[in-house]
Amino acid sequence: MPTRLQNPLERDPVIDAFKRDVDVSLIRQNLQLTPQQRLEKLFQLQQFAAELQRAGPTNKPRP
Amino acid sequence: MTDFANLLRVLATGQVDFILVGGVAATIHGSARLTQDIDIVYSRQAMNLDSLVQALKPLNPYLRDAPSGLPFHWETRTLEQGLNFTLTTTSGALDLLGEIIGGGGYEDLLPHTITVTAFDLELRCLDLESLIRVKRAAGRPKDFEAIAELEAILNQPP
Repeated sequence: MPTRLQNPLERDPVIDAFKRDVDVSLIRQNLQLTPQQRLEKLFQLQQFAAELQRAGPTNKPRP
Repeated sequence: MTDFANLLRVLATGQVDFILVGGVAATIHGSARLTQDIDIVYSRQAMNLDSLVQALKPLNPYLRDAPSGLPFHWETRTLEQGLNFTLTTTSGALDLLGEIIGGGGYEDLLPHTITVTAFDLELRCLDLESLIRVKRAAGRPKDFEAIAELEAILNQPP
């Protein structure tokens, strides 16, 4: 398969439009962490999301 | 039970040649997005297929979304006959990719990787620019937000 990894990274107006919604403060926070800390944070978030998914079906709307 | 640190440990200590791509690679570069699986590009060398089979065997890999009871044998021959496998394991979801669009296989990607240390493991990860390029090449609308975030990371001052 030919690789295109050498090509220069050109601007893409569609992606540029999505950049307006990027929360740069979260990125800056993450960049202060080590790669291991970033992974640990991801794994904690995954556990949290899984816990919420498990909890979901047991929480029925109030009458 | 999801234990991605264990999954990474199993691969690394099993002498598997692999490169982290996808959401976990994005996390290593500073992404704040949540991902539910580990995507790796693995070397298709015969010895590496054996290593991969031996390393993952204790985690009972099985095809994700496949109907239960479907005959799936986790062995080198299975890997030889396929290329990309979306697996579920006892430590979480793992996507094994023989090649990725816009990037090629393990050997093609190798010059475009960085090595990071985490959990006392040396992990090879696709570098940030290449990660952006392969996500762009995939052209999936669901990746647009992720690409925008990665480009924002690229533009952050050192």
